[in-house]
Amino acid sequence: MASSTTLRVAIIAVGLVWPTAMFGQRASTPADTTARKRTDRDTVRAQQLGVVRVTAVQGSGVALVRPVSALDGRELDRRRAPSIAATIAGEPGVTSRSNGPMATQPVIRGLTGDRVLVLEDGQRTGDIATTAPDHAVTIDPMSARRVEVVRGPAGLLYGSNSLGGVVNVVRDDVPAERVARALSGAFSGQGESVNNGGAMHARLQGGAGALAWRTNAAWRTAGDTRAPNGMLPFSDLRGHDVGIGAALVDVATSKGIWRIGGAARDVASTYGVPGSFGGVVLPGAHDGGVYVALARRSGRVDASWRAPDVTSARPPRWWPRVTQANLSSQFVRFEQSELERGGFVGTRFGQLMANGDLLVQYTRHAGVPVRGNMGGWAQWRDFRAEGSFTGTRPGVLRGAAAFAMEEWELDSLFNGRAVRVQVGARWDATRIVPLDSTETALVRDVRTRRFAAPTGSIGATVELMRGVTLGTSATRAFRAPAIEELFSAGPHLATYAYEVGNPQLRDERGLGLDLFARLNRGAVRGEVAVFSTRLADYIYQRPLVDSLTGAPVRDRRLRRYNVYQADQADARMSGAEGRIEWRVPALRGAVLDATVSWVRGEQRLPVDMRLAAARWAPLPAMPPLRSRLQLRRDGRIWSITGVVENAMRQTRVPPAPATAGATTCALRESEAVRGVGAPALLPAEFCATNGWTQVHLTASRRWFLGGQLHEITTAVDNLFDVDWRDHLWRAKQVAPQPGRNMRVFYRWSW
Amino acid sequence: MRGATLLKQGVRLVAASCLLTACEHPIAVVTPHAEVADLVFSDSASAVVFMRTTDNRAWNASPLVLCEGDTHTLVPKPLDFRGMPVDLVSRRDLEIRGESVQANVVWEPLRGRGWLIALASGTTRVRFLVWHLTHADLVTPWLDVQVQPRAACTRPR
Repeated sequence: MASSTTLRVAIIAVGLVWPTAMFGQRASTPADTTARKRTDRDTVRAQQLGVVRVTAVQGSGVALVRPVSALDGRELDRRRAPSIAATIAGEPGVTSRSNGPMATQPVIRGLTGDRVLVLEDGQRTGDIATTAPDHAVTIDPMSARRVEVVRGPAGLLYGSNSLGGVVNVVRDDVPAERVARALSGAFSGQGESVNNGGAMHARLQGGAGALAWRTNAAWRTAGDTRAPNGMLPFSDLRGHDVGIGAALVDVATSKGIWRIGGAARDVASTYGVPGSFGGVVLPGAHDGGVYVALARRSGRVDASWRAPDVTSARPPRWWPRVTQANLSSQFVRFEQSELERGGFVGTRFGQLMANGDLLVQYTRHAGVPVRGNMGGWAQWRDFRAEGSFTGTRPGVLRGAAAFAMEEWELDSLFNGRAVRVQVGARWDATRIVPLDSTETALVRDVRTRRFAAPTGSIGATVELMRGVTLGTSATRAFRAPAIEELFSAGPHLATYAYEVGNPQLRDERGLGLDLFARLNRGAVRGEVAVFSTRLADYIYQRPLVDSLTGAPVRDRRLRRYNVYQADQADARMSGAEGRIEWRVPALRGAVLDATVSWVRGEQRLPVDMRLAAARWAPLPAMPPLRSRLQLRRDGRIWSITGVVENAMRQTRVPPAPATAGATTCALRESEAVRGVGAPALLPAEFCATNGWTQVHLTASRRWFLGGQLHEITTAVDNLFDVDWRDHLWRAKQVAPQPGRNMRVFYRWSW
Repeated sequence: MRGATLLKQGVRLVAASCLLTACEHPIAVVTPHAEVADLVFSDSASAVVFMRTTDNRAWNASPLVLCEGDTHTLVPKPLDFRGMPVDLVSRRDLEIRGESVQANVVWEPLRGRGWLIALASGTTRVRFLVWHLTHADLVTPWLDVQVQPRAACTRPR
């Protein structure tokens, strides 16, 4: 243990010291200028195509054949919530799974957890947010400059945890561009009434010559959340997010143009996980609440190289000519404690993670121009847990992947019409070693598991007419089971569940097909996509029910928690999502922005549950049909927005098991205290959720004072104080979502 | 010059400390998973099963009747999910703890055994916890206990 720690320290130290010693500061050269112009051209092209440049793979064109969306600028300011997931909820195909205000996770096309990859400047966060619904994503939205969402399987470049999609939070911790001003900065603050909360964020950046640096700090606090019918206890939070980074940017040598930099970040927060409301406690939840305290420290080193003066080089031939290479590595130390009443540590998780990736971009000419990417990725993760009744097993995960992707420009074959074909292949291998292989009544045959699979994708886009592009892609994706899905056996206080793993789980394999249309014509722009995904051996948490009585099974050791066991079944998902923006001339340039998201998920029933008529049943926790209609007018000074958001009633839930006694989906206080003889409360997965409609209003104003920008945004969320429930929350039968919320956001940039 | 050297050494020391702290695993030691499925008490005198839980659902000897002033020596034996006994003597990380609703009955743990002491007459409920280092690994159901007054007690001591 000591030797491995020493080795890791040595590797990090070398990573931090070696590159800075290697490269000196050089004046800007013509090659440097040419490269910057090329970057600018790429940016303009990306904006014209409506393409999101995902930081992790800039210029790779991954977004070319995938539906994407992005939040930044004023729109991001209007939507900032305590968590990243809540901030992007409402984007096409995106919603959030709530487990309290802080512990929310993004859901893309009905998939969440370990199937949606959350990146921070293109790198994994290294937290354990994907392993359970009560775990928070450790990125404060106040520090985000831009949030990008790639929908659908994007595993080709991002790895095997992106079956649902990718969320990339851009902060530019490691500066990517030279900074003209020696010192500049921004300060922002936010207050909200629904929880008496406040948040502040400050950013300073500067540079001299090739050196660019950046630092930012965010701080947040909030009390219990107010719901329309009362206060939601144990929903308070507080935390901070501090980062610093520096880089030598665009250092020109005769061999190319280099960038090398590093960043460090410290994140900590404490938040409550509510499980009761109005005196009614959800079965399995703590009446005293559960608090989660987490801390994450991370360090990263990025380096990149660009070929010198690519425009004057000889024309590309069949053999690839490397134009750019990016190397990125990071190390994360993560710690999380789940605290019961009195500060008693119920469960404590600890994780060390190191990963690195290399991406090489090249061009070649195979009759038509070809741009390509190839690279490799490796990850090491040491996950451990301890505490009262801890059921989560420790384990070490090692993963590696190699991939290649090419984009063929077939314009010359189609009379100059923009036609692109993108093909890619990837090979993933994962090895999971349990550090404790003790067998228990529920988990047997605990052993090292290895998973490996080839994946790939093919896609194409065709510009039918100016501003109208059609695209399609077919993707084969793969996901290895998580450590927790394989080996867990114990209660998880903050999820109100006794989680049982399954060491026999196979890997998930998905086959997805996307069809989409992008429109950017005159006053109308948007994107509409339909998709269908088949998942073989889809892993899900099955609530166990007694085969005789049909009542939910409680754990044997404490008789307190509903038991959920990891299980597999084939699943299929299909749906559609779209967003159309129309600049209405009659409304003085106001924009009508409509978003619709719909997904339908089904699973093949296990043999013992199979009904005569239906072999497929709805998947649990599928988001309802959601729509969002926004009318906004963004002027130079004023910006006013009105939003109507709607979720339909979700009745597509798995069939409730046949029971001997009465069951209910609604827990009332009288039933909760009656005890024996009361109808058994069905797990939330079997229960429908009512629809809701909310209205949000926002107004913002800008001032330019002495060359400094001041902007203040006021908003009212849930204007009519609607009582609404999150269909995806296990505590939805008890706990409502936030009521009316007045927000004030102020930003000062200088 | 000397100040600069000292400053450099200080910075290196702080940097090295930060790196070591960052790389140290938050949970250094992995504790083997322990799971106890049932608890059996045998009588210290006869070594026969005195009472036990069944599937950790119920006790086979409820209510337990004791006499006021009785000190019953019990040998606890946790069973794993295969029904195999877990040796409390060799497994020093496990111990048996007892909780009583009323104070008239107390559990006094000893090495490999324990005393169930009836201090005063009355009724109460007790339960036992198989304690694993920092946490309970098994919580038994409540066991009803009746403590009869010494005068009314007909059982031989």
